[in-house]
Amino acid sequence: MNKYSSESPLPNLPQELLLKVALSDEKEALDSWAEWKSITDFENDVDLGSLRLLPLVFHRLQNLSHLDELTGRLKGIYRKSWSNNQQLIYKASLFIDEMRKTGINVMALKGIPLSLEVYNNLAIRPMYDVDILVPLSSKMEAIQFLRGKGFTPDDERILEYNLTYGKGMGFKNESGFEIDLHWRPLLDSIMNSDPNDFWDKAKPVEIGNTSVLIMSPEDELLCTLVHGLRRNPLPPIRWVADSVFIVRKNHETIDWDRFVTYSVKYKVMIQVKTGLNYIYQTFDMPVLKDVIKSLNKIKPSYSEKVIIKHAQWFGDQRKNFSFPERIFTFYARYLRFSSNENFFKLHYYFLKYSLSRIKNRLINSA
Amino acid sequence: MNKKRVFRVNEPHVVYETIDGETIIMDLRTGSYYSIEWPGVVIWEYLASGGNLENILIEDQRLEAHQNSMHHFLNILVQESLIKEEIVQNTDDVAVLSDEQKAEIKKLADSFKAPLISKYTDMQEMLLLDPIHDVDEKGWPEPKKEDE
Repeated sequence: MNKYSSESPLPNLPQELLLKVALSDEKEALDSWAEWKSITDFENDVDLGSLRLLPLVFHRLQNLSHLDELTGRLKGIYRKSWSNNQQLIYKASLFIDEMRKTGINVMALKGIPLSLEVYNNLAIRPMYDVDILVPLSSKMEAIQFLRGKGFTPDDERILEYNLTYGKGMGFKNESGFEIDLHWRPLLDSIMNSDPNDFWDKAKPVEIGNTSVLIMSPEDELLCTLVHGLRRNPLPPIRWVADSVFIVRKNHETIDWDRFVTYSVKYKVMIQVKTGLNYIYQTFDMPVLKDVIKSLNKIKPSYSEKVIIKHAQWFGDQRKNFSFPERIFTFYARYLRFSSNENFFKLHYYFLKYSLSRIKNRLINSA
Repeated sequence: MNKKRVFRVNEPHVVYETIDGETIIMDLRTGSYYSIEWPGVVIWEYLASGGNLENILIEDQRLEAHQNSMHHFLNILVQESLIKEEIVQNTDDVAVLSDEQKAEIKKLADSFKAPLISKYTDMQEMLLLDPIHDVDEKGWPEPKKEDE
């Protein structure tokens, strides 16, 4: 573990230097690369989050015609990412084609849309699985389809819970092909969501011999920030590169009003503001000034503050929680599910919800 | 009617990208991975755009002396199903060599080097290689030699 190791969603010094190599102007990029090499032992210090940025870093250094002693291995990391992504996208295209033929609408999330439409390159954003979203009303058909194709859920017990309160579940087949099936794009503020949200502005893109829907740029940006700004054992710093690329590529067409409306509706303003402020201050992004100003005028709700605190403390960690941590997680999950903003009503219903969950647990264990 | 033979990449199952003077190719049905370096890259790029070997050989007469080795390279690409043959009706349907490609062909004729292709078949095992620690200085997919 290197001395900068952290699980924070905001980059540490070496990670920020790598991001600058990829995203800053030529001089700052090359200076940052030299500094990164001077403080990093390439054999021992490259965390997984940084490793996932290296294909993009190679691509940038290649565009700047920069060669050095690490070029061969960086190029290898790029080749490996290209090969892996090509295979995943090929398998995904066959799978999506079959799924669509059964009448299920499919939207691709994360790696596929970013590679195909934002980076326009199949190497620079490594993927490890395929993320797809289906309409909430099609979740059972989608699960049945996956089971029929030999996929099993990561955890049957959690699947049961997630069908009501969660946003999706990972599935894997015998050959190790992983599909992350989502039926909600965001976990935050489930009760405020509308089934048509995110689908109404989705557009089709070609993938292999078929097509798949992808989100509009503002929706993609929102989901990238919200997924990225969670505590994660695998440093999710690539949200920075993804967000900067989405904005730079679509700055003339992004619907910022919709972006702000969804940030409020899904109670994700705090992480969205944190993320946008970081990229505004670190990279040359004047286009973000007005949207940050708009978001600053809106006060986050009590629920939102608790939910973000929980996401920052625990996020995607898979560990055995202590009893107080489990209570806090239970409470945060309730707040996500609730649309109530009145503090007293919120807690009155929390008590009712807790009692019903305890009752269910007792019935199930009897 | 002047029928001509041209080649196309066997899409959509065959994908490729040229990075920094090297073309990497993948057959997605078999998972086989290929790498071509100079001068094979020049020939691949032209064939992939709808060209043929005849036009390369005509471009610089000195290459006739090496046509066996050039045809051998072409045959491997066809045998591996990376490219497929197509018959077109007119000379206009054959891709025109760009100035850059013409310059590369002259360079090849000046100092000939046989075009080669490397094939890697065990993709599952290759993907398990750690691209920082398990590879030589050329990088993935070349594994580190035992004595390194």
